[in-house]
Amino acid sequence: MTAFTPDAQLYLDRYLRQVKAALRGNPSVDAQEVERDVRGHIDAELHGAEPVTLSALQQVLARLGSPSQWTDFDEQPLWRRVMVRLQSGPEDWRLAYLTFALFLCGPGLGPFLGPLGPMCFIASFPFARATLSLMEEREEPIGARKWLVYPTLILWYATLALLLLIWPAPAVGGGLTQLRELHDPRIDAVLAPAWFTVVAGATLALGAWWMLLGVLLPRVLRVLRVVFWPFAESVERRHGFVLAGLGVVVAALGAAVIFAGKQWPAQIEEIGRIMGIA
Amino acid sequence: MAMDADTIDNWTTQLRKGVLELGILNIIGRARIYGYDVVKQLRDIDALVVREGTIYPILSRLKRDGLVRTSLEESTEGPARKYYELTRRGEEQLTEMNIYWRALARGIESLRKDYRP
Repeated sequence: MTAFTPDAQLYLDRYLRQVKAALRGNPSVDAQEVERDVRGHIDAELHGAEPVTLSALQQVLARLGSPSQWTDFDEQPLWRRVMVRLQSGPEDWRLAYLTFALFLCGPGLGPFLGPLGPMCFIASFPFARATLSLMEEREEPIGARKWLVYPTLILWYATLALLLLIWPAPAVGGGLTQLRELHDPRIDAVLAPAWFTVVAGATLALGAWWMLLGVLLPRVLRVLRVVFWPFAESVERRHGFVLAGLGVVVAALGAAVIFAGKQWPAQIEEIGRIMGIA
Repeated sequence: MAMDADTIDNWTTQLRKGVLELGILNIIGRARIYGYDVVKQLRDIDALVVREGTIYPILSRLKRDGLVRTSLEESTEGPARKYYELTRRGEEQLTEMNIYWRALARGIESLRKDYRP
């Protein structure tokens, strides 16, 4: 595997994303196969010149050309042709306006549009990604169009990131609460003091999950950058270590809470009663 | 009347498209070959390849159409390499294409030789 400098790697990832976007849905070619061939081409061209710098990579990619020009426009999938026609040239704001209009349709016209409202809102996400994708292909800066395109992306990404980060806490907390509601003396003995154990268990699970995510992050960096594009481009391996470190702290806190609950159960029950949650 | 630059561009693009496929099939027809080496051989013909990336979708299409097949081979210089070779159907089609090309080139040449600008 050819090694690239970080900026060259980012540039390459962006280019390969363009390759996939330009060929996806084209019935006459296998987009994944072409992507593999292009990777092989780049490896063969730059083998032995490692780590490959951005300028060396750019020379190779310039000879390969823009992926959007590799196939006939008519061969491209319908959705892509529609998007390209909507954004017919540089500095074209139509697709960005349409994205924003769809984004506003959900909450704004929801009562009048019925089920169309949420559908418009959902559709705003692929429209936003397509807008960015076309601008990237044309090497066009997004400029002020970000105010029209980013709101929907931020909302979707923030929701997804939040779910990804915190799901173990409600899952474990909910599971322990359900166990508690069984009123089984053996389970109650393990969980006692119950409210405290639920909080501690959720914290411990959250910490363990962050540790796992932090360790996995360097391996899934590319996937993460694609999913949260364009906001995750600055995420690096070191952020994984930071997340894992935070996970260790949170898990240790959870473990300490469990320990405290077992050491001083009467006091903890009392605190719970005072707070009205025991 | 002289052709303007756009017309020439369109004409060369259309012409190149069909001829490029013929060039690729002829290269693969000579011997089993690594995909990147197809690009390297075509690189020497300036008029044929403007963007090297265009070759890979054509290779993919030829494979999908059953004219070429691929096989992977380990390489000492990196990841496994994909080699292309013609199928029986590809050989038959290439023969027909070459016959047509020779007839076309002869015909155009006979028209062109009497042209006096």
